[in-house]
Formats: sequence, C-alpha cells, structure tokens
Amino acid sequence: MSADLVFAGGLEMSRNDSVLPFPHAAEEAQLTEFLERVERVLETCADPGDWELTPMDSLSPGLRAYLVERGLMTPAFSRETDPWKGFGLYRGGIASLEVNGRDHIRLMVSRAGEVLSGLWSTLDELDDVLESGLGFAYDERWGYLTARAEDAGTGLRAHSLVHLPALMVTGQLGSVAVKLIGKGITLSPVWGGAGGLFQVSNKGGLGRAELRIAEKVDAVSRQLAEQEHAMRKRLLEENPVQVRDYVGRSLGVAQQAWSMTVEEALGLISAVQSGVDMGVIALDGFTPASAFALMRRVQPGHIAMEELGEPDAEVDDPRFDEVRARLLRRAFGSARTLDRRE
Amino acid sequence: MFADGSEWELGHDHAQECDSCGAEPGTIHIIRIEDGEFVHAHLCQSCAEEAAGGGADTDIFFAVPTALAGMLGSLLSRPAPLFDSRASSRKSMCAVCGSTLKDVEERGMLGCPACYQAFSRHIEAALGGSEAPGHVGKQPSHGRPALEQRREVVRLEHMLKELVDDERYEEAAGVRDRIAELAELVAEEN
Repeated sequence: MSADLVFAGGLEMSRNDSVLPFPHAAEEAQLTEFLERVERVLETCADPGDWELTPMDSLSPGLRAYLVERGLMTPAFSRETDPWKGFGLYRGGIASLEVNGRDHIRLMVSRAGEVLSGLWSTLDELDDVLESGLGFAYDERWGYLTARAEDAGTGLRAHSLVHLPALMVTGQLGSVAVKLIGKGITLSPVWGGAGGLFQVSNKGGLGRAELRIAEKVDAVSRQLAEQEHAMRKRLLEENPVQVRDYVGRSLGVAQQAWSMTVEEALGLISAVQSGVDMGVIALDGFTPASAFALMRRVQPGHIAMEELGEPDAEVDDPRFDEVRARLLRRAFGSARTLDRRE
Repeated sequence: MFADGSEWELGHDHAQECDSCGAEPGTIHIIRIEDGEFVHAHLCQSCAEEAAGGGADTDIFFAVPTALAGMLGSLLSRPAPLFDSRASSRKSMCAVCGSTLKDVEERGMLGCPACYQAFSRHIEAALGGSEAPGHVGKQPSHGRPALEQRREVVRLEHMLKELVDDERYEEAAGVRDRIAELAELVAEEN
C-alpha cells in the first residue's frame, strides 16, 4: 500500500558530444550542425517513425507547458526558442529528448505509478542508439562529462514525485530533508509545495551505478510514503474534529466553486485524496493515481491542450479558472463525508 | 513534475559562509515560505539541522544542497594550494575551447569536455579531493573514430574566430584551409 503515494517517477540522462564545446559556450553553427547530426542518427539508427524531432522555435506555449507538466520537458528548456535547440518525442511520449539545452543531450523517461528501477532498461537502450551514432564525451575518472561538473559520472538524475501533505503540515519535512542531503538525496517542493507534492532525487553522478541510484531513490520514496501514511493515521486519531473539518470544508469548496487557481485546486485535490485515504470521505474509484491524474489535468498546459484545444491560449485567460473548477465539480460530484459511525 | 529548484537557478549560487554561525561554509540552501514569499538562507550542516529541528509548525521549509558552482568559486577566493597565487590560478586555460578558470567560476559550467583535463585539480578538489569516488556504472561501448581530428577542428575554429576578431585575415585564411582539410578527413573516416 505504501507505494501508492509515490505518484510518478522519472530518469534523466545528460550526455555531450565528445569534442564540441558545451552548448552555453558553443557557436550557433556548431549547435545547428549537432542538431542535424542528431536528426540523422534518429532517422538511421532508430526504427522509422519512433522519434519526432522539432526545433524549439516551432512549439506553442500550451504544448510546452503540457510537456513540462507531463515530465517530458524540463522547465528551463521549455523557455528556449532558438531554432538550433530541438525537442524529440519517442513513440508518442514513452521518452523524450532535449538537444542543446544545458548539455548537448538530455534523454528522459517518466511514468506515473512505476518504480524507477523498471525505467532504466528503456533509457539504457535509447542511450545506446544515440551513442552508436554520436559518440559521447567520456573519461575513465569522471565518467560521462557534463557542462556542470557535479552532474558528471553516470549523468543520471532519478526523481520521484511523492504526496506528503501530512508530513508537510506537521513541519516534519525540514529535518527529513536535511538528513537526506547527507545521504546524497534531495527533497524539494513541486508546484511551489501546493498539494503537498515533493520530489525525491539523487544528487551527484559519481560513485554509484545507474540502477543503484534508481533503487535508492525508490527506497527513500517508499519510506517517505510509509511515514506519510503513519502521520495521517496519527493526525486523525489525535485531532479527529480538526481533520474532518479541514477535509470536509475542502470537499465542500471543490463541489461548489466556479472559479479556481491552480494552487487552490491542488490543495483541494490533496485534501480530498487524504480524506478518502483516511476513510473520512467516500468516493468510489478515487485512487491516489486518479488524484495525480486530476492534479495534472488542472494545470494550465493540460487545460489549454486537452480541455480548450487551444495551444496558443494565454495562461492568464480567466476561462482556465472556470474550466479548473468544473473539472473538480465533476470529479467530486458524488463524494460525501462519512460520519464516524459509518 | 519537476522540482522547483530548477526554477530557482540554484546552480548559480555563489559560495558563502553559513548565514547563521558565519564560521562554516553554507553548504545547504534552505528555503522557507514566509507570508507567501520565498526566503533563502545558506547554512552549514549543523545550523541547518538545528533550524530544521525547531521549525515552525506551519512553515513550509525545504533544504537543497548548495551547488558546485559555488564550490569552484570558493576555491578561487581562498589562497589556492595548487597554484602560486590567485592570479595565476585564474589564468589557467583550456587549450581546446579557450575557457579560463575565471569563466568557469562565473558561469558555474565548464566550457567543453577537454576542460576536465585542463582544470582537473580544481574539479577534483571541488568534488571532494582525491577521496572523491570515481565513476561507477555504464561505459561507452563504441569506438569514437577521428576523435583527435575533431578535437583539432574545434580548437582551430576557436583560433579562427579570434584571428578574425583581431583582423588578422591572412593567418585566418591559413587556419580556415587547415580546418577544411581536417573536416574532409573526418568525413572520410566516418
């Protein structure tokens, strides 16, 4: 049960051409030529149609936001508009590729509800394909070489998304985060901490093999999820009225509001999920996975692409807040709070 | 899906002393939310543990490691044991891309793969000295043909740009011809 609060996980791998300057120090012509080489390698070494490579000057704002929200593009790269920077999508979103970002290549896989160690083989195979045609910068001592020295080694960053609202409101996460740093793990907020979502990730790429890194992040994420379950149970036992009041009020707003910001929506979904988990709210079929899916659907990129079908819509469009409130009314329409006797 | 740290550009923090005790290096970047505003502080491990232990109940309170960019910077701001003086350490340069240690310090990033050799002592010191763990894990399985020629092309391209900037066009023409010859060789070997 404990792994259910680990909503999603992903692996990112940084690679660089063996000779060219790193992107921030390279000439436009060098980067353009590199992007063309990547395109040729994907055409010749991968199966036809597997990869779709697009220059960054041709992506709409809505699509960029959508890709970031799905873990397929990094936030910093989503702001790039140079034509010599490219974004690749593998088989409709199984994996993705950033070309000429901080490093020449950043290969990523991300999945909801799957352990990280299970994603490694996909990433490893795609890396082999790229390496066969590109040749990556590598050194016996430092491993795969990256623009930032602290990423060198495996070049791998493993991260998972964990739902920890009870640990957050009880002020437990600060000391947990400080202890984890000593173990080479970083705990940081996602979406500004709204909805109690946190990312667990490794830091540094030296001294540990890829699979071990993934397993370690998996293990820490599961431990945090167990602590969160225990804390929810304790909160309900020690403060039943406050917990039921908070969760019940959240459900009331979620069922009745007509306009809502992302932060508010995330907080409400988080409260209802915790309520269902603690047996305070009845809502058939509302699993942690459905809570995460809903948390994604209320994000601006998802509303622009999936609800409005307008990739160029401005994110401050007031319709976003209306659509978001409607999504919550529909999702929680049949939910009800449970009396202690039920 | 991505942590907010990437939004805060933590990689560009410059190293500093602990904001609390002022004695130890501030290796942990603490972020609190106070009245809806992000408040940043750099603390040493022991001050961070103390601050976290006594954290206010409702404060959202996070900690992330201060990035290496600052560690490289701090090596420069102290008397560097590896070099005679700070000035000489700043002058060391990568022969392939032309990056100096000062460039690396300012950007928090190396210039090219060859920088790892040019600045190896500094990188090793920043990553934990000779005790730092080496690379464990995946290794390239394929050969890299014409690596030396390609490295030479990049070096010459950098030289060409500088010659053109200095309006030394005759020398530049010679370098350009050499680049063309090498590029042809690389293309044949590929």
